[in-house]
Amino acid sequence: MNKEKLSRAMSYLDEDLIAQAHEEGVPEAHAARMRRIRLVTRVAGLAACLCLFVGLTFSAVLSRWSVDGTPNEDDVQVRTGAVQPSAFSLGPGTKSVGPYLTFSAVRPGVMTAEFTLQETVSPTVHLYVISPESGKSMPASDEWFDVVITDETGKTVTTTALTAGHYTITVDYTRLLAQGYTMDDYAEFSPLGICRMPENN
Amino acid sequence: MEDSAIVELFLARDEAAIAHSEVKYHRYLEQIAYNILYNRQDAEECVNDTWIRAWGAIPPHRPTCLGAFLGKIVRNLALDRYKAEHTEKRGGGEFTLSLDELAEVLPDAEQELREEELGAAISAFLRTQKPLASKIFVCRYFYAESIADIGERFGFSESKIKSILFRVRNRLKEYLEKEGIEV
Repeated sequence: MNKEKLSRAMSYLDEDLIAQAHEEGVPEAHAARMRRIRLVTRVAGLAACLCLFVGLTFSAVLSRWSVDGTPNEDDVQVRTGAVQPSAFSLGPGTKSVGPYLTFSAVRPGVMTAEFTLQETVSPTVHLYVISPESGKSMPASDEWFDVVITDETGKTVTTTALTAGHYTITVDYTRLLAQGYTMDDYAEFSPLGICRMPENN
Repeated sequence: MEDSAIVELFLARDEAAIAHSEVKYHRYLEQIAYNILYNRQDAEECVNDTWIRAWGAIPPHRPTCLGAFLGKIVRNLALDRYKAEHTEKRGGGEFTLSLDELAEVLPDAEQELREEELGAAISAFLRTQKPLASKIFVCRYFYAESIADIGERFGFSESKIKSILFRVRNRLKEYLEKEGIEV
Protein backbone atom coordinates (compact mmCIF):
# COMPACT_ATOMS: atom_id res chain seq x y z
CA MET A 1 0.00 0.00 0.00
CA ASN A 2 1.10 3.54 -0.70
CA LYS A 3 1.53 4.77 2.84
CA GLU A 4 1.55 8.44 1.99
CA LYS A 5 -1.61 8.19 -0.05
CA LEU A 6 -3.33 6.24 2.68
CA SER A 7 -2.17 8.72 5.25
CA ARG A 8 -3.54 11.59 3.18
CA ALA A 9 -6.74 9.75 2.50
CA MET A 10 -7.32 9.44 6.23
CA SER A 11 -7.70 13.21 6.29
CA TYR A 12 -10.79 12.76 4.14
CA LEU A 13 -12.60 10.52 6.54
CA ASP A 14 -16.13 11.52 7.30
CA GLU A 15 -16.11 14.14 10.00
CA ASP A 16 -18.60 12.33 12.17
CA LEU A 17 -16.27 9.32 12.36
CA ILE A 18 -13.40 11.58 13.35
CA ALA A 19 -15.49 13.38 15.94
CA GLN A 20 -16.92 10.18 17.41
CA ALA A 21 -13.53 8.59 17.80
CA HIS A 22 -12.14 11.50 19.74
CA GLU A 23 -15.04 13.06 21.51
CA GLU A 24 -17.64 10.35 21.89
CA GLY A 25 -15.27 7.60 20.98
CA VAL A 26 -14.14 7.04 24.49
CA PRO A 27 -16.52 4.53 25.95
CA GLU A 28 -16.05 6.06 29.34
CA ALA A 29 -18.16 3.56 31.20
CA HIS A 30 -16.30 0.69 29.64
CA ALA A 31 -12.92 2.34 30.07
CA ALA A 32 -13.72 3.19 33.66
CA ARG A 33 -14.86 -0.35 34.30
CA MET A 34 -11.68 -1.76 32.78
CA ARG A 35 -9.59 0.70 34.78
CA ARG A 36 -11.40 -0.39 37.93
CA ILE A 37 -10.81 -4.05 37.11
CA ARG A 38 -7.13 -3.41 36.51
CA LEU A 39 -6.90 -1.38 39.70
CA VAL A 40 -8.61 -4.11 41.73
CA THR A 41 -6.34 -6.72 40.17
CA ARG A 42 -3.27 -4.70 41.01
CA VAL A 43 -4.44 -3.99 44.54
CA ALA A 44 -5.29 -7.67 45.05
CA GLY A 45 -1.86 -8.64 43.77
CA LEU A 46 -0.18 -6.15 46.06
CA ALA A 47 -2.31 -7.31 48.99
CA ALA A 48 -1.39 -10.92 48.30
CA CYS A 49 2.30 -10.00 48.20
CA LEU A 50 1.90 -7.99 51.37
CA CYS A 51 0.10 -10.85 53.13
CA LEU A 52 2.81 -13.25 52.05
CA PHE A 53 5.49 -10.86 53.27
CA VAL A 54 3.73 -10.25 56.59
CA GLY A 55 3.08 -13.96 57.00
CA LEU A 56 6.68 -14.86 56.39
CA THR A 57 7.89 -12.09 58.64
CA PHE A 58 5.47 -13.01 61.39
CA SER A 59 6.44 -16.63 61.07
CA ALA A 60 10.09 -15.68 61.28
CA VAL A 61 9.44 -13.48 64.28
CA LEU A 62 7.47 -16.19 66.02
CA SER A 63 10.16 -18.73 65.43
CA ARG A 64 12.75 -16.25 66.56
CA TRP A 65 10.77 -15.57 69.67
CA SER A 66 9.88 -19.09 70.49
CA VAL A 67 10.96 -20.31 73.89
CA ASP A 68 11.35 -23.95 74.48
CA GLY A 69 10.94 -23.63 78.19
CA THR A 70 13.80 -25.97 78.93
CA PRO A 71 15.22 -25.17 82.35
CA ASN A 72 18.67 -23.69 82.33
CA GLU A 73 21.47 -25.93 83.49
CA ASP A 74 21.92 -23.67 86.50
CA ASP A 75 18.27 -24.05 87.22
CA VAL A 76 18.03 -27.76 87.70
CA GLN A 77 15.85 -27.43 90.71
CA VAL A 78 13.62 -24.79 89.22
CA ARG A 79 11.14 -25.49 86.53
CA THR A 80 10.39 -22.71 84.17
CA GLY A 81 8.00 -20.26 85.63
CA ALA A 82 8.61 -21.22 89.18
CA VAL A 83 11.04 -19.86 91.70
CA GLN A 84 12.48 -21.85 94.50
CA PRO A 85 12.48 -20.36 97.95
CA SER A 86 16.23 -20.28 97.73
CA ALA A 87 15.91 -17.53 95.18
CA PHE A 88 14.37 -15.36 97.83
CA SER A 89 17.48 -15.46 99.85
CA LEU A 90 18.94 -13.07 97.33
CA GLY A 91 18.45 -9.60 98.65
CA PRO A 92 16.86 -6.79 96.66
CA GLY A 93 19.20 -5.60 93.96
CA THR A 94 21.37 -8.69 94.21
CA LYS A 95 22.31 -10.22 90.90
CA SER A 96 22.62 -13.88 90.43
CA VAL A 97 23.12 -16.26 87.57
CA GLY A 98 20.24 -18.36 88.77
CA PRO A 99 17.80 -19.67 89.45
CA TYR A 100 15.76 -17.48 87.25
CA LEU A 101 12.52 -17.08 85.41
CA THR A 102 12.29 -17.77 81.74
CA PHE A 103 10.03 -15.41 79.89
CA SER A 104 7.89 -16.42 76.98
CA ALA A 105 7.25 -14.07 74.11
CA VAL A 106 3.64 -13.17 73.60
CA ARG A 107 4.58 -11.04 70.66
CA PRO A 108 7.51 -8.76 69.88
CA GLY A 109 7.68 -6.25 72.68
CA VAL A 110 5.54 -8.22 75.10
CA MET A 111 6.58 -11.21 77.17
CA THR A 112 5.28 -13.10 80.17
CA ALA A 113 6.50 -15.44 82.85
CA GLU A 114 4.82 -17.30 85.64
CA PHE A 115 6.26 -17.73 89.09
CA THR A 116 5.27 -18.96 92.48
CA LEU A 117 6.14 -17.14 95.68
CA GLN A 118 6.26 -18.89 99.01
CA GLU A 119 6.69 -15.76 101.05
CA THR A 120 5.91 -12.08 100.73
CA VAL A 121 8.38 -10.02 98.71
CA SER A 122 8.55 -6.54 97.19
CA PRO A 123 10.19 -7.10 93.86
CA THR A 124 11.58 -4.54 91.47
CA VAL A 125 12.06 -4.99 87.75
CA HIS A 126 14.96 -3.82 85.65
CA LEU A 127 15.23 -4.50 81.96
CA TYR A 128 18.58 -4.52 80.30
CA VAL A 129 18.68 -3.25 76.76
CA ILE A 130 21.29 -2.85 74.08
CA SER A 131 21.78 0.78 73.23
CA PRO A 132 21.45 1.44 69.50
CA GLU A 133 24.17 4.10 69.77
CA SER A 134 26.81 2.33 71.80
CA GLY A 135 25.79 -1.29 71.29
CA LYS A 136 26.28 -1.81 74.99
CA SER A 137 23.94 -3.29 77.54
CA MET A 138 22.34 -0.79 79.89
CA PRO A 139 19.35 -0.70 82.21
CA ALA A 140 16.33 0.83 80.58
CA SER A 141 14.50 3.61 82.33
CA ASP A 142 11.34 2.17 83.81
CA GLU A 143 9.28 4.85 82.13
CA TRP A 144 9.92 3.10 78.82
CA PHE A 145 8.31 -0.19 79.72
CA ASP A 146 5.28 -1.40 81.62
CA VAL A 147 5.10 -4.21 84.12
CA VAL A 148 1.82 -5.81 85.07
CA ILE A 149 1.59 -8.64 87.60
CA THR A 150 -1.63 -10.59 87.93
CA ASP A 151 -2.58 -13.20 90.47
CA GLU A 152 -4.25 -16.53 89.80
CA THR A 153 -7.63 -14.88 89.40
CA GLY A 154 -6.25 -12.58 86.74
CA LYS A 155 -6.47 -9.57 89.00
CA THR A 156 -3.67 -7.02 88.71
CA VAL A 157 -1.67 -6.70 91.88
CA THR A 158 0.81 -4.16 93.09
CA THR A 159 4.48 -5.03 93.12
CA THR A 160 5.07 -3.39 96.45
CA ALA A 161 3.94 -6.40 98.38
CA LEU A 162 3.45 -9.74 96.71
CA THR A 163 2.23 -12.33 99.10
CA ALA A 164 2.81 -16.03 98.67
CA GLY A 165 1.00 -17.36 95.62
CA HIS A 166 1.15 -17.94 91.92
CA TYR A 167 1.56 -14.94 89.63
CA THR A 168 1.97 -13.98 86.04
CA ILE A 169 4.22 -11.10 85.11
CA THR A 170 3.79 -9.34 81.80
CA VAL A 171 6.41 -6.91 80.53
CA ASP A 172 5.52 -4.64 77.64
CA TYR A 173 8.57 -2.95 76.18
CA THR A 174 7.10 -2.04 72.81
CA ARG A 175 8.16 1.56 73.30
CA LEU A 176 11.74 0.49 73.82
CA LEU A 177 11.71 -1.39 70.55
CA ALA A 178 10.22 1.65 68.87
CA GLN A 179 13.13 3.66 70.22
CA GLY A 180 15.53 1.32 68.46
CA TYR A 181 16.64 -0.62 71.52
CA THR A 182 16.99 -4.38 71.47
CA MET A 183 16.59 -6.46 74.57
CA ASP A 184 19.56 -7.87 76.31
CA ASP A 185 19.15 -11.49 77.21
CA TYR A 186 18.27 -10.87 80.81
CA ALA A 187 16.33 -8.70 83.15
CA GLU A 188 16.58 -8.29 86.83
CA PHE A 189 13.48 -9.19 88.76
CA SER A 190 14.67 -8.56 92.28
CA PRO A 191 14.61 -10.25 94.62
CA LEU A 192 13.98 -13.17 92.34
CA GLY A 193 17.32 -12.83 90.64
CA ILE A 194 18.09 -12.76 86.98
CA CYS A 195 15.18 -13.30 84.64
CA ARG A 196 16.10 -14.70 81.28
CA MET A 197 14.59 -13.03 78.28
CA PRO A 198 13.40 -14.94 75.22
CA GLU A 199 16.27 -15.89 72.98
CA ASN A 200 17.46 -13.35 70.42
CA ASN A 201 14.95 -10.75 71.43
CA MET B 1 -19.41 28.10 23.02
CA GLU B 2 -21.29 25.58 20.89
CA ASP B 3 -19.75 24.60 17.56
CA SER B 4 -22.79 25.82 15.65
CA ALA B 5 -22.43 29.29 17.19
CA ILE B 6 -18.74 29.42 16.29
CA VAL B 7 -19.54 28.38 12.72
CA GLU B 8 -22.12 31.17 12.55
CA LEU B 9 -19.40 33.63 13.57
CA PHE B 10 -17.19 32.30 10.78
CA LEU B 11 -20.03 32.67 8.32
CA ALA B 12 -20.63 36.22 9.55
CA ARG B 13 -16.92 36.96 9.03
CA ASP B 14 -16.56 37.75 12.70
CA GLU B 15 -12.96 37.29 13.85
CA ALA B 16 -14.23 36.26 17.24
CA ALA B 17 -14.80 32.89 15.56
CA ILE B 18 -11.06 32.28 15.61
CA ALA B 19 -10.71 33.36 19.23
CA HIS B 20 -13.50 31.01 20.32
CA SER B 21 -12.12 28.18 18.18
CA GLU B 22 -8.73 28.69 19.72
CA VAL B 23 -10.12 28.49 23.24
CA LYS B 24 -12.02 25.32 22.45
CA TYR B 25 -9.74 23.46 20.08
CA HIS B 26 -6.18 24.73 20.40
CA ARG B 27 -4.98 21.89 22.59
CA TYR B 28 -6.85 19.28 20.55
CA LEU B 29 -5.33 20.50 17.30
CA GLU B 30 -1.87 20.89 18.76
CA GLN B 31 -1.96 17.29 19.90
CA ILE B 32 -2.92 16.07 16.42
CA ALA B 33 -0.04 17.99 14.87
CA TYR B 34 2.35 16.95 17.61
CA ASN B 35 1.52 13.27 17.11
CA ILE B 36 2.75 13.62 13.54
CA LEU B 37 5.64 16.06 13.98
CA TYR B 38 6.86 15.35 17.50
CA ASN B 39 7.87 18.97 17.78
CA ARG B 40 5.89 21.45 19.88
CA GLN B 41 7.01 24.52 17.96
CA ASP B 42 6.15 23.02 14.58
CA ALA B 43 2.83 21.80 15.94
CA GLU B 44 2.07 25.29 17.22
CA GLU B 45 2.78 26.79 13.81
CA CYS B 46 0.48 24.26 12.17
CA VAL B 47 -2.29 25.23 14.58
CA ASN B 48 -1.79 28.92 13.77
CA ASP B 49 -1.99 28.14 10.07
CA THR B 50 -5.15 26.15 10.71
CA TRP B 51 -7.05 29.29 11.75
CA ILE B 52 -6.10 30.97 8.48
CA ARG B 53 -7.16 27.95 6.45
CA ALA B 54 -10.43 27.67 8.34
CA TRP B 55 -11.11 31.37 7.84
CA GLY B 56 -10.64 30.89 4.10
CA ALA B 57 -12.75 27.74 3.96
CA ILE B 58 -15.79 28.88 5.98
CA PRO B 59 -17.73 30.01 4.03
CA PRO B 60 -18.45 28.46 1.60
CA HIS B 61 -17.96 25.29 3.62
CA ARG B 62 -20.25 24.84 6.57
CA PRO B 63 -18.81 22.10 8.78
CA THR B 64 -21.16 19.97 10.83
CA CYS B 65 -18.40 18.87 13.16
CA LEU B 66 -16.14 21.88 13.63
CA GLY B 67 -13.56 20.02 15.71
CA ALA B 68 -13.18 17.24 13.14
CA PHE B 69 -13.07 19.79 10.33
CA LEU B 70 -10.29 21.74 12.01
CA GLY B 71 -8.59 18.44 12.88
CA LYS B 72 -8.47 17.48 9.21
CA ILE B 73 -6.92 20.85 8.32
CA VAL B 74 -4.24 20.68 10.98
CA ARG B 75 -3.50 17.07 10.09
CA ASN B 76 -2.91 17.94 6.45
CA LEU B 77 -0.72 20.88 7.44
CA ALA B 78 1.28 18.63 9.72
CA LEU B 79 1.65 16.02 7.00
CA ASP B 80 2.88 18.71 4.61
CA ARG B 81 5.40 19.90 7.14
CA TYR B 82 6.44 16.36 7.95
CA LYS B 83 7.01 15.59 4.32
CA ALA B 84 8.98 18.81 3.77
CA GLU B 85 11.18 18.24 6.78
CA HIS B 86 11.64 14.61 5.91
CA THR B 87 12.76 15.59 2.44
CA GLU B 88 15.16 18.22 3.77
CA LYS B 89 16.67 15.82 6.23
CA ARG B 90 17.27 13.30 3.52
CA GLY B 91 18.94 16.07 1.51
CA GLY B 92 16.43 15.85 -1.32
CA GLY B 93 17.60 12.37 -2.25
CA GLU B 94 17.01 10.80 -5.65
CA PHE B 95 14.13 8.71 -4.46
CA THR B 96 12.30 11.74 -3.10
CA LEU B 97 13.01 13.73 -6.20
CA SER B 98 11.71 10.97 -8.44
CA LEU B 99 8.55 10.79 -6.43
CA ASP B 100 8.12 14.55 -6.71
CA GLU B 101 8.69 14.39 -10.44
CA LEU B 102 6.09 11.69 -10.80
CA ALA B 103 3.67 13.68 -8.68
CA GLU B 104 4.07 16.63 -11.01
CA VAL B 105 2.78 14.51 -13.89
CA LEU B 106 -0.57 14.06 -12.14
CA PRO B 107 -2.80 17.08 -11.96
CA ASP B 108 -3.25 18.20 -8.34
CA ALA B 109 -7.01 18.15 -8.61
CA GLU B 110 -7.00 14.57 -9.82
CA GLN B 111 -4.65 13.47 -7.08
CA GLU B 112 -6.77 15.30 -4.54
CA LEU B 113 -9.83 13.56 -5.84
CA ARG B 114 -8.27 10.13 -5.57
CA GLU B 115 -7.28 10.69 -1.99
CA GLU B 116 -10.74 11.99 -1.28
CA GLU B 117 -12.28 8.93 -2.93
CA LEU B 118 -10.04 6.68 -0.92
CA GLY B 119 -10.99 8.55 2.25
CA ALA B 120 -14.66 8.07 1.39
CA ALA B 121 -14.08 4.35 0.77
CA ILE B 122 -12.35 3.99 4.14
CA SER B 123 -15.21 5.85 5.78
CA ALA B 124 -17.69 3.47 4.17
CA PHE B 125 -15.61 0.52 5.30
CA LEU B 126 -15.41 1.82 8.87
CA ARG B 127 -19.19 2.06 8.99
CA THR B 128 -19.36 -1.69 8.39
CA GLN B 129 -17.12 -2.34 11.39
CA LYS B 130 -17.99 -2.53 15.05
CA PRO B 131 -18.00 0.98 16.53
CA LEU B 132 -15.20 0.20 18.94
CA ALA B 133 -12.92 -1.15 16.20
CA SER B 134 -13.75 1.84 14.03
CA LYS B 135 -12.92 4.31 16.79
CA ILE B 136 -9.63 2.60 17.59
CA PHE B 137 -8.72 2.66 13.91
CA VAL B 138 -9.43 6.40 13.65
CA CYS B 139 -7.51 7.13 16.84
CA ARG B 140 -4.50 5.33 15.45
CA TYR B 141 -4.52 6.37 11.81
CA PHE B 142 -6.17 9.77 11.88
CA TYR B 143 -5.03 11.09 15.24
CA ALA B 144 -1.76 9.12 15.14
CA GLU B 145 -2.11 8.31 18.80
CA SER B 146 0.24 5.82 20.36
CA ILE B 147 -0.90 2.27 21.07
CA ALA B 148 -0.36 2.91 24.77
CA ASP B 149 -2.54 6.04 24.74
CA ILE B 150 -5.31 4.25 22.87
CA GLY B 151 -5.12 1.36 25.30
CA GLU B 152 -5.46 3.77 28.19
CA ARG B 153 -8.32 5.58 26.51
CA PHE B 154 -10.34 2.45 25.80
CA GLY B 155 -9.29 0.46 28.83
CA PHE B 156 -7.55 -2.32 26.91
CA SER B 157 -4.05 -3.71 26.99
CA GLU B 158 -1.63 -2.67 24.26
CA SER B 159 -1.59 -6.20 22.83
CA LYS B 160 -5.37 -6.14 22.52
CA ILE B 161 -5.25 -2.80 20.66
CA LYS B 162 -2.56 -4.14 18.33
CA SER B 163 -4.65 -7.22 17.68
CA ILE B 164 -7.77 -5.17 16.88
CA LEU B 165 -5.82 -2.89 14.54
CA PHE B 166 -4.23 -5.85 12.80
CA ARG B 167 -7.61 -7.43 12.09
CA VAL B 168 -9.16 -4.14 10.93
CA ARG B 169 -6.24 -3.48 8.58
CA ASN B 170 -6.62 -6.92 7.05
CA ARG B 171 -10.33 -6.41 6.58
CA LEU B 172 -9.70 -2.98 5.05
CA LYS B 173 -7.27 -4.46 2.57
CA GLU B 174 -9.82 -7.10 1.57
CA TYR B 175 -12.52 -4.44 1.31
CA LEU B 176 -10.45 -2.16 -0.93
CA GLU B 177 -9.47 -5.08 -3.17
CA LYS B 178 -13.08 -6.15 -3.38
CA GLU B 179 -14.12 -2.60 -4.31
CA GLY B 180 -11.43 -2.55 -6.97
CA ILE B 181 -9.57 0.30 -5.31
CA GLU B 182 -5.85 0.17 -5.82
CA VAL B 183 -3.63 2.12 -3.53
